[in-house]
Order: sequence, then structure tokens, then C-alpha cells
Amino acid sequence: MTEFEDQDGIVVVRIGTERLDAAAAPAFKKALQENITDQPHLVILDVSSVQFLDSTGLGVFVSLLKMMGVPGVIGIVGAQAAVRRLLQITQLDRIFRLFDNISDATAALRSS
Amino acid sequence: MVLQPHEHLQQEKELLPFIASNYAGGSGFYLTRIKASPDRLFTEIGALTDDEEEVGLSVLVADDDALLGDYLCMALESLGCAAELVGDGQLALRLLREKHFDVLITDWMMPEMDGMELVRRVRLDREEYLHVILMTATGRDQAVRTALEAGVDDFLHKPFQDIQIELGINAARRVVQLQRRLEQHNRRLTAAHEQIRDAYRLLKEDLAAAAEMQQSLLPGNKLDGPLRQASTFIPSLDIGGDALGVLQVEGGRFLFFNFDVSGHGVPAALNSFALHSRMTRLAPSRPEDLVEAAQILNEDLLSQGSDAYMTAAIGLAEADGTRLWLLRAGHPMPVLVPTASPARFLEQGGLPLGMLPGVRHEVCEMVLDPGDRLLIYSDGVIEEGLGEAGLLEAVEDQRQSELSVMIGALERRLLDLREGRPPQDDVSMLSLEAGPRANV
Repeated sequence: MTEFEDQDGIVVVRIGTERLDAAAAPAFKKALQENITDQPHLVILDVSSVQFLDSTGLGVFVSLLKMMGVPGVIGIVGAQAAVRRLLQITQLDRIFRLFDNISDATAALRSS
Repeated sequence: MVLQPHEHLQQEKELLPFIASNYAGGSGFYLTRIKASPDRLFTEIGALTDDEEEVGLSVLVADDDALLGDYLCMALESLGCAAELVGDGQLALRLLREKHFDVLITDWMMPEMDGMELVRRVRLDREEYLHVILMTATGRDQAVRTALEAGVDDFLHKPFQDIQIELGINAARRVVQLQRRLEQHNRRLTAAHEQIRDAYRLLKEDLAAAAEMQQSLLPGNKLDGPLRQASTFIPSLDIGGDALGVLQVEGGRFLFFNFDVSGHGVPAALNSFALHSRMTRLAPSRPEDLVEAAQILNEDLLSQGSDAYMTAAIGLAEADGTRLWLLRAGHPMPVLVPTASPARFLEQGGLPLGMLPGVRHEVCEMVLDPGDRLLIYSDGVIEEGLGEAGLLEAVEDQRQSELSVMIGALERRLLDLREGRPPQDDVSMLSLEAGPRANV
């Protein structure tokens, strides 16, 4: 279950699944494609429910970035240790900005 | 007396209480329908469709009273059935074993073998469906229960009327019809099941052949000389998205690489085969060529237009084992095991390939002393249980072992941690070691 909310131009995506893997990724990607249509510049992914993220799930984050096009920025909120570690190993923590909570993320993304 | 369907329906409505009591013991279905709506009952199940009318039943009648038996057979024939009469249970049993009947109508009291015993034997004997009707003069509850337990489907109460026979045969016809349809469905299902099983077997064979091809691409162990190597590969399914390679390139240097293509199974494996082959043809032989090769693979993957990407560790080693160059693209951090200091991770690296255009990776250079080791591996090694700290510890434990023994021990430790569960992600490892220097 993925929820979408528009907070004054920033799209906040709350990912409901605990395992974002090859089984869950297609539905997640479809939800993104259906709900994120007009190339927003700023998207926040709330991953606080996600305990496991694999290469397929990570691939969907990247396809979201491609959907947004340049100069899209994605903030990731509430990454648990395993998710954070995967982002570090793949160096994607340089592409996605990590935040502890949504208000930090919205403030930082707005001022960027 | 032969009634036309419409006439007898009208009469049956008047017999409603009888029908209800007659079928209550055998089938809740009839009783429920009768309670719900008598009119609907007759429109839905009372009238026979054209299809059902064609079902000619073969009926075996077992009765020691030849006169009554003959009368019953005639009544059955007038209802479109083929009827045969035998005088006792033994004969009936023998005939039932010899040929097919849809319905058995048997008297209870008979010499040699009575009707109840006949029904019990028949139920033990036969696998195919047989509709059994017991003729009886008694309507006592206990007798009816005994008959039901023996396997009787329906009763014909003596002295019986034609309408009763017709009613019983209509019920039998519907059940036999359903039974035939069920058998037909089962035959189709069995055929479909066999087809699926064959297809599955072919698929398994294809996968096994592909897995064999994938295994044949793996670099073998080389445990002597100035540059040594050992590796292992455990796919999560029959084939996987990891690739390992070691090959000699221009200038005598060795190109080595470990890829992990996103996803699992056949799609990941196909991509992995293609990228393995691409890398082998690119055959970079200088550090700057490594950077270019990574850029080419990055663009290749991006041009697929899918979500596919891969993490990779790609390196070059001098044939004399003195020097090594390494490029890491989103891959887990390689482990360096110097003879003179503790094992450590090499942190330098960049993004996976196939995610974003225009990415440029850096190459790190290392000078090796004899005995120094390098380990590259896919994230399955970490994710499937060892963890980063566990990996360093395991590598330290095996520092004195031969290279292939170290790889074997890492693999075993990983599988032990999984307690026999196959890994959910591909696991691949490649280790290189500088051998003793040749005397100059």
C-alpha cells in the first residue's frame, strides 16, 4: 500500500510495505507511475516501514528519479539500518538525500 | 404407466411431503431446495434438459422374485434404460465386475447374498460411480440408517408405483450425468496436468543447461605462480544474475570482474551473460581503459530502457602479482588482506552501472607484497548472513589457509548460518593472491 500526498508542491510518498523486493517492486512502480504524472521536482519517499530493500526495490527508486527528469531531487525519510547501509554501499546516499523526519526533509528540499 | 415430463411434474408437486422425506436422509441438497421454493425446485431440477434426456442408463436389477423383477425391468425400459435382471446377490456381484452399469436396483432379502451385503461388497469393489437403489418394504429408521451406511443412495418402497420408479431413475440420471461430467473434467484436468508437468520438466532441463553454461564461464582455481585465484558461485535459483570472470588481456595483465545484475532468475541471468560477454570483448588492459569500460557498460544498461542495473567490481592485476587496479561501481566493498596488517575494506567507489548517465568512476591502485590477498564478492555474501564484520572475521580466521580453502570456508560459514535454507540472493566470490616472488 503506497500513499501519496502533495505538501505545497512536494510529493510525499509513504511506502507501506515491509519488504520492498522483487515481489513488491512491480506494484510499487505501478503506483508511482499512476500517481506521479506531471514531473514534480521534489519527492520525499517515506521508507520508515521498510525493513528490507533489495536491488529490485532500489531500481524503482532510480526509475522514479528518471521519471522526474533533471533537476529532480528525491529525499528519503526514516531509512532503517539495512536500507541506509544499502544506500551507502551503492553510493546512492550521494544521489538521494537522507533525513530523519518529513519536516526536516521538506525544509531542506525547499531551501535547496 | 408412462407419464410425459410436464404431467408428472404436476403430480409430483402433490407428492411433495413424500419427496422431502424420501431424500432427506440421502441428500440435504433436495431438502434445502424444497424448503426454499418448491416451484423453483421443479423448474431447476425437475425438468430434464435435452442433453440429460439422452443419457441412457444401464441398470442392473437384483431380485429373487422374477415376476417383480421383470415388471421393474419393463418399467425401466419404458423410461429409456437398458435393464438386466439377476436372481441373487452373488450373480449381481459377478456381473458388476464383468461389465459397466450406471445403476443397481437390488432387493434387500435374497438367498445366497442379501442386498445389503451386495451393496457393501460393491462399494468396496468399485472405483467408478454406481448409483444404488434399495428396494424395501420397511421404512424403519434403523433399517434405513443401516442401508445408508452400507452405501445405498436411494430407496424404492414396496409396493412401488410407476411414479416412484420414474422419480428414482430421474434422480439417478442427474447424478450419473453429473458424475460423467465430473469424470470428463477430471480427464481434461489430468491431461492438462500432464502437459504442465512436461512443460515444467522441459523448463527445468533448460534451466539446468543454462546453469551449466553459467558454471562453465566461471574462472577456475589457480593456486600456484605469481598470481593465484580461487572463486565460488552459488545461484539463488538455478541460474542467477551474478557473473565472475578472470582473463588475460594485452600486455599479460589479468582482467578480473564480479557483476551483480539487479533482480533474480532468468531475466537477470540473460543480462549477466550479455554483460559478461561484453566485458570479455572490451578486455580493458590499462587502468584508464577500466574507466572507459565502466562507462560503456553504464550506457549499455541505460539504453535498455528498463530498470535493470548492476553493481560491479572490475580490476586489473599485473601478471607478476606486484600491482593491482580496482574500480568499484556500487558493489560491496572489496576486502584487502595484507600479510603485514589486519584485513580491511577498500571504501573508494562510485554508483552502480545503468542508473544515471554520464557517471565516471575512479580507479584505485595497490602495490602488493607476496601473500597479500584481495577478495571481491556480491552483496549476497553480506545479506545472506555473514554481515560485514562477520566477513572480515572469517577472512582473518583463514589468513593462513590456502586461497581455495579460504573461499571454501567462507562458503561453508555462509551456508551454515542459513541452516540449510538456499540463499535468496546470488552469492559469488573471487579472491586473488600475490604468490612468492620469482628469483631474479
